[in-house]
Amino acid sequence: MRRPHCKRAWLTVCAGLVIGCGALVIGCAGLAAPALAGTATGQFPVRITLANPLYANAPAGAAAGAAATGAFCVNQALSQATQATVTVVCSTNQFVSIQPVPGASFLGTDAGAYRFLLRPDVYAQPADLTWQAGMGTITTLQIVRKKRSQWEITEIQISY
Amino acid sequence: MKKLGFAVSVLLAALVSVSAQAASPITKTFPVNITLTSACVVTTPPVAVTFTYTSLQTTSATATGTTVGITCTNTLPYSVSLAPSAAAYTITDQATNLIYTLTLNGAANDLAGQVGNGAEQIVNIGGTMAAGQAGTCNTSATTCSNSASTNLTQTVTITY
Repeated sequence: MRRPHCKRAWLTVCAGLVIGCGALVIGCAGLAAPALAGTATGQFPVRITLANPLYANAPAGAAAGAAATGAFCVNQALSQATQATVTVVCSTNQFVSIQPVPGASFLGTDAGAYRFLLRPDVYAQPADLTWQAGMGTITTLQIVRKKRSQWEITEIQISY
Repeated sequence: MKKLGFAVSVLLAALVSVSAQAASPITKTFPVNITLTSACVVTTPPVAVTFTYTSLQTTSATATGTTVGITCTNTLPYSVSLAPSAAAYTITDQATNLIYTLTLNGAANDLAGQVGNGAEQIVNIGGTMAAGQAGTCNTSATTCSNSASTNLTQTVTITY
């Protein structure tokens, strides 16, 4: 008589556990619902065409596809202060010249023009600036004439 | 004769019983359970975002954009963003070294608060590129393209 009673008790316990577990699962499912979010994706290319400014500025009638031979570049950090224009040949990557804007000088970046000392016995060579040279002085020609043991020098300078 | 009368009575009783059963049918109800899993699908994939830029141009460039068609379950909230999600989606193209920003519906990245309606909804993908960028274009060709860029492909993500 005791064994059936015991079985009934166990069944009651098990049923209680099942109901409890079920409630737990439902509760967990409710909590987990927002975490079930999904994603969808789409991919696409971002295409960029970078135009070569040499061609953009090419004169009308220039042959299409012709190799660029030069460009006009300005150093914005210095050119505005020095009024310098930098010209570069791009086809060979060769630096060509730095020169002031016509009629202007390099301002604040050098001490003036360099003076080349011409002597009859040596080739022209650069010399340190002297007081004769001054700011912006360029020595362009020196005529040397020997009179007996004396040197007679005539110097022509162009200044700006 | 008595026997015959009894048989007729039994037959009539049976007929009455059958008729009575047909007049009161037995009904049984049952549920139709439906489990609807919400989802968003990219129904029209984006094509391409295209920039055309001239080195050091003085005005910003606006891309030719594309659209993405998204269809979501009715009333399902979702958001759209360009991966990785960020307030402003700015990328430096690996090939041309140009920096650009992509937008969703003309605004910043991360289009939140969208709600599905069961029909396709369109989101515009656009882009801008700031002025004054030099870029990288080391050939003498007319233009440079980013077709070989390692970050050419971008991803739009729908989260629901």
